[in-house]
Amino acid sequence: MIGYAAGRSPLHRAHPYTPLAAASAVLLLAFAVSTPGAVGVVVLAAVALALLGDATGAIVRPMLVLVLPTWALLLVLHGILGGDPHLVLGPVTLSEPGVRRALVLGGRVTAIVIAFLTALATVSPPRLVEAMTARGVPFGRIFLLVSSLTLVPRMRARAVQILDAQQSRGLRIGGSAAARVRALVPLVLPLVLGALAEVEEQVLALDARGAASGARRTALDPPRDTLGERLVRMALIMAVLMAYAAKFMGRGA
Amino acid sequence: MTFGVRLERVRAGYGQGDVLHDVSLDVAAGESLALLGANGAGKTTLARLLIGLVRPSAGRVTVGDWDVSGRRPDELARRVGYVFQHADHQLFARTVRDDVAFGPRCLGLPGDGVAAALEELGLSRVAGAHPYDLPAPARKLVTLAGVLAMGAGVLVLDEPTAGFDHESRELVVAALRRRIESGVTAVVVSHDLAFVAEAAERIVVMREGAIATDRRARDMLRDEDALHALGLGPPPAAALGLRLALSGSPVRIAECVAALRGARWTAPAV
Repeated sequence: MIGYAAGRSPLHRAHPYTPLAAASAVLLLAFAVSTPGAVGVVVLAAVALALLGDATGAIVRPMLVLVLPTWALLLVLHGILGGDPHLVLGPVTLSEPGVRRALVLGGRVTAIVIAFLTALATVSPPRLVEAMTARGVPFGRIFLLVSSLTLVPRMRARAVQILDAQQSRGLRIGGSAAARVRALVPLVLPLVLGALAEVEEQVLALDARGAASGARRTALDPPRDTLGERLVRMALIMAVLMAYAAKFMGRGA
Repeated sequence: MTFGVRLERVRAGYGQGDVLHDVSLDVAAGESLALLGANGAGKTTLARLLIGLVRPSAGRVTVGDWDVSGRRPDELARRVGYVFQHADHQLFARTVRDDVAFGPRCLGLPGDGVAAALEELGLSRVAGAHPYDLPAPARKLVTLAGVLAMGAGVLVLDEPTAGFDHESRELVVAALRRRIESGVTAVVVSHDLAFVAEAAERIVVMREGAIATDRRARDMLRDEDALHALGLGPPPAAALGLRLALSGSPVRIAECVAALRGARWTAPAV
């Protein structure tokens, strides 16, 4: 499942900016390094983040769905079509630089996916709204961000309801490839049209309740931001800056 | 064709424990039943069992001679028409007419039921409109028309009148009554007791996944204590009948009018 999964882990209890900062740091570090070993370290950091957030159960399936096709594509593209020298692994011959390139790219994707799925699973959208409100972030930006974070679970729930409704009207889900393609229209269109109608009503309702007034909003229950967490975020920023400094000074791993 | 519905010691839920616990229920062919109860009592779960959207973890559900467990929802749609609470979960065609015709087309049925269903629910004049150009209650009428056009022997309606004005509700009541009179079995989940009074002969109250009460609608709708326990009150006609001690135990508007006409009543002096 992609989205928030309630829990009591340190990441769940942390200020919402901390898991997001950690995920962002993983993303930036993944692009700051360029050897398979260094990328592997970033992947391990992302896995550690997932373990810290007690999120492995929630993210394994979507992670595999997102990452495995990427790995397969990268290994085929770079491993088979890459240049000399070639490695012979039993019946398979692969390009050595191609495999190294695939390992770096695949590792980056894996680390980023794990880190952001963990952030999505551990950052409660209402707490994030409160945290951003307390920092004076304009409501429009908060709404945009939180809508994006909650989009997948909401669309998934709606898709299940649409599937039920259309099956109840006699739509057969399955059969030949052509039948499956035909079944897409009555499934996808209500999803899109319903979401558009919902957004329109939601925007009007927000306007009617003064969301666009421009006044600084009141944070009713802002999450506590401790000195320790601020230091952690600062350390993450420093780590990223140092990694990029090393990269641009030619000493990148 | 009409079909009865039977649940035998059914347990069912959504993966994290059962919502229904050993529920047994018989609804005879041509009977109209209303399911009442607080949110989370298991009404919708019970209704969804009938179309195969929820599978029993124990027990047996049958519609006529079909065991629901062995059939897909699209197969069961030949016998069970299910109207969902939210219309926007199914509308997709470019016109109201096309959307109403979707179910009959899926089932390979003749299209003559489409025009009749549109006419019956007052949708003929908007048959060429896009469903999303209609207000929400009208969209819900479109979904109802889509199910009526399928000609199923069992109708399952989940909150069919929520958000309706008087006129729309009357259209639904009339359409449902015509079906019931022709032998269709109706199972209605509703908090709208005025609608229940007009449409149902029998009321089953669900509480915490079990059947708490199973009574004649007429008796239940005049039992203020039982209704208050559910956070409800008698429908207007029943309340009026109770207050004025009208004969005949009216619960429907027409019955109330008839009782008032027959009553000897003098306006109080002003």
